[in-house]
Amino acid sequence: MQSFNHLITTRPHEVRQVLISDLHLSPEEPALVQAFLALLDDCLALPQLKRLFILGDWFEVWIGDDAYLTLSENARQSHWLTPLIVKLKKLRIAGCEILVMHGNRDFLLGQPFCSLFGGELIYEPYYLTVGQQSYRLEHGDALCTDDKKYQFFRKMMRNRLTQWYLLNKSLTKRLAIADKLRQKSQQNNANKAAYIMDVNEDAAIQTIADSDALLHGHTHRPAIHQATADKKRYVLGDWRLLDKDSRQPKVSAVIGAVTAHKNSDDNNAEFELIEFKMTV
Amino acid sequence: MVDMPPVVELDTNMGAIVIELNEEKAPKTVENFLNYVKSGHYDGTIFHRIIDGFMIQGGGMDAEMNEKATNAPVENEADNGLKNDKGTIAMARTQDPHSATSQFFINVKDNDFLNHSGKNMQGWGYTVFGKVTSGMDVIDKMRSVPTGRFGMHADVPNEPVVINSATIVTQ
Repeated sequence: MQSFNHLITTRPHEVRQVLISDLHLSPEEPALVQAFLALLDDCLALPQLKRLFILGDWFEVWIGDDAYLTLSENARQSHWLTPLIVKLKKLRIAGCEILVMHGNRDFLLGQPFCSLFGGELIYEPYYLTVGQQSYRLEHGDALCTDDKKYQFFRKMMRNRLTQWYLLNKSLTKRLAIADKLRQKSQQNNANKAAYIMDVNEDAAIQTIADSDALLHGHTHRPAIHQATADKKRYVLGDWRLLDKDSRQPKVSAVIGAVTAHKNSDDNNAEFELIEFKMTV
Repeated sequence: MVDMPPVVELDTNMGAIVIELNEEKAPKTVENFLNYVKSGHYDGTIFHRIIDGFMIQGGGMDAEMNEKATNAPVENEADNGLKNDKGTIAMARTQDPHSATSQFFINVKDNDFLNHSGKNMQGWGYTVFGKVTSGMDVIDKMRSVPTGRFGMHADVPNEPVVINSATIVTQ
């Protein structure tokens, strides 16, 4: 798989859009946060980059925008999210759109938080034109239809009433609820067969019917699948810390990029999965 | 006698844009801007950076993309409470909060993230000093012109969008 580093050193002018998902950022994973900031630095250097898509599970958990928005200026200065917001803002001012989609962990992320850096919340399915083709973008959790328990849970969580109910609880209560839900999920996952936690092939075939290709994350199983005879299903990867205990730990992720030859317009754009790797 | 806010008209090759300046909330910025208008600095400059869905920026380059000489920078007044909402005019600058000289931009969307959030490097924001009272239709045409790269500059309109003259209508 081509490396992002190689792409940006050999063909920086060709990168028009970058797509990532499943970073699961939290203050407990500083290496992943550094890697995301490094990706943003790379993005800032790309002369033709017009869009950055974050397609869900950007954060490990999100209990509401107010957790950050209600902080005092002082509190924000030392908050782990602030460097991210500053760099994203810089990217936006440089002319790159930042489009954020909910995942199953950060479905309470709101437009108010995104507005801090000029980002825009988008909803699945999102249709992206790549060259002559229409790509359907979504997080991926809706495709795991074999996991009936999860789909029931998802329906409840995505319900506006549930979200209104949750967001009306105090931050402390919400943190406690998030903890409990995470515990329960881990317990349940331990008992689930691997196949039900992956995308259901029939669901994928049905979903891909209204586009030329399907792109999603969520399963943490990056790959290119031939969904139907003439349509591909691309899966983005999660952000992983490798060689944790060695002297050179690395963060690696399979991400997506839309490229087009220098001087060509977007009609000839192409999509590819590439590997982003960084030594932390 | 009621003090009327100063009004400036930009005559461009795509139509006229009339801007009412908020002298009360951004006195230094408005004085700085009016000085450039009076000296004819803006005549012949272009909107050299146009990003649809974001803003149109100009007032610093001529049609050959040469940067015009400017005066001393003006202090940042973004803590004046005015927001970078659609149709407002604000000063462009570098990373240094107090580096604005002649370049300005017109917001084509509510750009909350450009507002003042604190007196630190990242939070200072961009000084809003007026609003468009006529010509949003002209700006709508401008924001969707085809753009490309010009040397190290990005988002440069392929066909120059020229400010033929900037004049004070009332002061």
